[in-house]
Amino acid sequence: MVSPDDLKAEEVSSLEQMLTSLPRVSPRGELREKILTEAREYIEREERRRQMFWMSFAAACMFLACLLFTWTQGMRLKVLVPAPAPRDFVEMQIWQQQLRLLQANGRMNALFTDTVLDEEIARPSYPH
Amino acid sequence: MPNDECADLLARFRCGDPTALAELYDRFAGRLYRVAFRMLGEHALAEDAVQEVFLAVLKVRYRLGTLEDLSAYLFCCLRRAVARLQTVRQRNQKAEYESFHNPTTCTLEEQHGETIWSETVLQAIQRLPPEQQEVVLLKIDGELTFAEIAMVLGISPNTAASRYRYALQKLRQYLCSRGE
Repeated sequence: MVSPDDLKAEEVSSLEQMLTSLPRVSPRGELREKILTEAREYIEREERRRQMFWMSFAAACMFLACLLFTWTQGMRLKVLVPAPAPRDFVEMQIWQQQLRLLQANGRMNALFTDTVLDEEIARPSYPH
Repeated sequence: MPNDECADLLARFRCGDPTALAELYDRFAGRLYRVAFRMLGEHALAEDAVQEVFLAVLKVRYRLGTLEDLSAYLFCCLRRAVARLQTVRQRNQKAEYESFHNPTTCTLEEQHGETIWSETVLQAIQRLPPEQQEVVLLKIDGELTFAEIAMVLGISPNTAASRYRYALQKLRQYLCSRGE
């Protein structure tokens, strides 16, 4: 069994000296250029990706803004043009009913003449 | 490398300053390359490993702010890159089994015709157990301290030191047995 304690300090240093004094390999000069070129290209790609991200983000924000604008405009129109009041709606239903009666009796032309009798068209009556 | 200088370099590197990467390369590439070359035994693969390390560091540069030891971090990345490349090579070798020789068993001299390390010392290092071989390479070629080696390998500095001494002991025995 080998024990590291068998080594003396001078032996360690002489072995180290032998190992370190041996000729050493070094990378080719082209490797430096290759790595730096690749790094430059990577940084450019990264920059382009970042720009694309911010452009997409801006486009998404604009789309959302348009959507919000349209929705608020819709809400505004809804507020400005209110739905027909219940009273008008009831009146309209009554007139539609009377028109159907006239049509059923073949008296539609009477609408365009003065010959419509009072009995033929009942006056609108409200439920209340 | 002094801490202030290192912090300044890292700060410039984080901002994407290309001169910072060049500076980082000039400071560490030689050592990283030597260790990768000893571990992989091929120039092309060693270059791939070093390139992988620098590009990996470039990709995570925004997270390097809390780094304690830059050299240890770089060698840690190198170790991972070497392990990955070894796996890829083994896979390729399986596919082409028996057609080609195994590069890991080749000496550097056979592959490149260069006299880099003497045959005997190289053989002695190759005979070491992998964990001791790694410590020797990180210490001699990587020029790391035991504390840094410990960080790279995830062991205690004492373990790193004792592995190194065991490795030297074995080297001495081997060299003595060869009459060197």
